[in-house]
Amino acid sequence: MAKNRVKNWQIQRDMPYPYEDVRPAKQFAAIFDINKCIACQTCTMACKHTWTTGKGQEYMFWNNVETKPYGFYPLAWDVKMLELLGPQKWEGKVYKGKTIFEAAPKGQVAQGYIPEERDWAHPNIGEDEPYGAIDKGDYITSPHKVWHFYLPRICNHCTYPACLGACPRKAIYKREEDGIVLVDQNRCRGYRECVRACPYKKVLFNNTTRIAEKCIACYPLIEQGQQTQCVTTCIGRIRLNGWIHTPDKADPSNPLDYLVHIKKVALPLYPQFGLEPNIYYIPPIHISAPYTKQMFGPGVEQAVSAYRNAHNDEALLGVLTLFGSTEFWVSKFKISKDTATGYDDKGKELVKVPMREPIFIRPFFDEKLQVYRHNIT
Amino acid sequence: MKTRIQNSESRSQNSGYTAHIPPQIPPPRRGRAREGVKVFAFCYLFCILILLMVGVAYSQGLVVMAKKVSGELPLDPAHGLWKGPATLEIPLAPQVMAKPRTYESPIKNLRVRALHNSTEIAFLVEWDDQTEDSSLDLNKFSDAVALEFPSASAAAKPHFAMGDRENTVNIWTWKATWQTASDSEKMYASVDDFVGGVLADNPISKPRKSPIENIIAQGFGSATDMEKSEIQNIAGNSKWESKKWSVVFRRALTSPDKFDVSFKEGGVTPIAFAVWNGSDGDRGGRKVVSTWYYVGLETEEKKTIYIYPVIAFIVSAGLVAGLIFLIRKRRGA
Repeated sequence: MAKNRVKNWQIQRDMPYPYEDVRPAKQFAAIFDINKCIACQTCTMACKHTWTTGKGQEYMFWNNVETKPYGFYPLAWDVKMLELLGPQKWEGKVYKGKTIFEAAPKGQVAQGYIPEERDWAHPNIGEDEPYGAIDKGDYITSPHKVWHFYLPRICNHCTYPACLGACPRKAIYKREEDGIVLVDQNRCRGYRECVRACPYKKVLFNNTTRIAEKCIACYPLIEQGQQTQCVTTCIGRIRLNGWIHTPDKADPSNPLDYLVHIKKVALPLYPQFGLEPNIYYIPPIHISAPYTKQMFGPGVEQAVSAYRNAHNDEALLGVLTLFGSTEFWVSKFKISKDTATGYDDKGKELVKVPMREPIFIRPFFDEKLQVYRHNIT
Repeated sequence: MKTRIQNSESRSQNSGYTAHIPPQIPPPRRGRAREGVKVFAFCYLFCILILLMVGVAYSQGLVVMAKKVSGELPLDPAHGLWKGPATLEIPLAPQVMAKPRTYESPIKNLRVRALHNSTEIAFLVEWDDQTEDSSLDLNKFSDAVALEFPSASAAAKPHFAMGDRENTVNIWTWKATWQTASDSEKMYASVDDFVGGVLADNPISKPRKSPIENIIAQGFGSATDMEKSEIQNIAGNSKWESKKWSVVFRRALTSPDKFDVSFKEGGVTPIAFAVWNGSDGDRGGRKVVSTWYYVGLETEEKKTIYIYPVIAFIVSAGLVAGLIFLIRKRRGA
C-alpha cells in the first residue's frame, strides 16, 4: 500500500493514511455542548427507534450517552484504545505521539481491537459514578473535586476514517456531497476490519445480516435540509448540525466554523487517534483539566475560558442560542439587536431567536388574588 | 559399474559383516555370470525405483487425480467411495501479500481427494483444526476453506492470489457458519421489514441455501458472489470430528457461465487452496493459502495407460526374480 501522507489540522501535522488527501465538497459536522447534557437518552431512543429496530440490531446504539470517566459503550473502549496507542505527547498544539495509523501492528492498517459481545451488553454501565472521594468538610469548588460528566456519542464521520482505511473490500465510502461515511450494505462481507479499526467503536456488526452497520448521519433528513434525529430531539438543546471547513477556509458566518475555528470553544474527541473526527464538543467547564485534555486535546483551557465568558460575548452567545432552535440545517448566522438569526444554504431565513429572554418580576404578594408567590420571576 | 560392485563386495568382506557370504569361492566363469545377473538386476531395480519415486513425487506433489467412478458422487465425507482416490497433501502458508496480513497460523496443510463420474466432480478436503468454529458472534469468526480455479474465461493462468485483472478466478468457499445456517430451516423469522443487508440484496445477508458460495475475483478485495447468475450450484457438506474438518464440494463438470470453472475428462485444471481458522480471527485476507496445484480427471482410456507400466513392471520384475532364482539354484546344485 502506498505511503500516502495527509494533513490533519487537529494534530497540526502530516500523518500516514491508506488513501490520498481528498476532502469532500462539504463536511457533515455537529457540536455537542457537554455542559448542557443531562444523559436523558432522548437522542439515544430517537436514533434507536429510527434506525436500529431490526433483527441483529438489538444491542446497537448508533447514538449513545455515557457517563465519564466510568461509563463506556462498549466497555472500556477509550481506555483500551489509549493503552494500545501508547504515550500521547503534545507539544503545544502539535501532536508528537503516534496516531492509530502510525501505531498499526505489522501487516495491519491501524491499531485496534474487536470488542467482545459482553462489552456491548451494558450500554449505560458506570452511569452517574463520580470520580474522586468526598472528604469531611469538603465544599464545592471549581473545578470540582468530585466529578463526572455525560458524553453523548455518534459516529464522527471522520475526515480520515479508520473504518474506511481498514476495509479490504472498499465497502466503506465517504460521500463527496456531505462527507458522511457509509458502509455499503451490498458490498460488505462482514470481515469486521472496520469494527477493529474504528477507535470510537462506532461501526457495529449485525449478526443477523452478517455485515457491519453504522450511524448514517440521518442522510435522508440532511438531503432535505434537515438536522439529524439525535440533534432535533435533544430536549436540552445541546446539539447543532452544520458544515465544517478546514481552519484556513473558516467562514465566520458559519456557526460551526465560528465555534470551532474562530472562538475555538468546541473541540474534537480524542484528536490524537488521528482520524480528524467531525463531532465537536464544548468541554465540561467544571472538570479537572488533565482528564479533559486527554480527551479533547490541548485546546481545553482556551475553550473553557471562552465558554465561561459567553455572557459577555454577543456573537458567541448568539450562536449558542441557535442550538436546538430549528429542525432545519443552519448554514449561516447573523447577530443583531439581541437576536440570533439562522439561514439555510440558500440564505433563506430559518429562525430568529432572542438572545436574552425578557424578565418579568411579579410581587411576592398578589393583592388581586390574595396569595403569596413562591416564584416571582 | 562392475568394478564398483566388486569393490563394494570386497569392502564388505573386510568390514566384518561376512557371516552370510557362502564359504565356497565360486568358479571364475560361473561367478562372472552370476555377477552379471546381479548387476543387471540391481541396475534394473534401481532404475525402476527412481522412476517410481519421480512419478510418485510428481503426482503426489502437484496433481490431485480425480478418480473416475460410476453412480452418484457422495456428499458424505465418511462415504466409502472416498477410500478410492489418492490423497494429496497441500502445504499452506500465511497470506502476506495484502493487508491485513497473517504471519502465524496453526494450520500448516490440508489433504485433498477427488472423484468424478463424467458429469460431476467432487472434492473432499480435510485439515486438522483444534476447534470447531461454526457459530457467528460479534467477535467470533468462522472456520472456512476455499478451492480456487481459473475461470473458463481466463486466457492464461491467473495469479494464484485471488486472480488478476486479465484472468478471473472462480472460488468455491465453504464456511462452517454457513453450514450451520443452511442446515437450519429458518435462519431468522422475518418479523421486521427493516433488515439492511437483505434489503440491499447482499448475498451474505440472505438466508443460505448452501454452505458453499460461488465467487469470482480479479485480485484482492474483488471477491464477488455469483448468486445473481442463478447458477450457484455447488453442493456441500461437512463434518468436524476428532479435531479434524472434512468438507465435501460437489458440482457439475461444466458450467454455462464463462466466469465459472469448467472441467474436462482427461484434462488438467489448476487448483489452489485457502483455509481460515475462525478462532484465530481469520477472515477475508487473514488466511493460509497455497499456490497453484492441478486437478486431473481420470479417463477410461487413461486408466489402462496407468495400468500397463505397472503390469510391465510386475512381469519384468518376476522374470528377473525367476532368473536370479534359476541361477542360484543351478549354482547351488
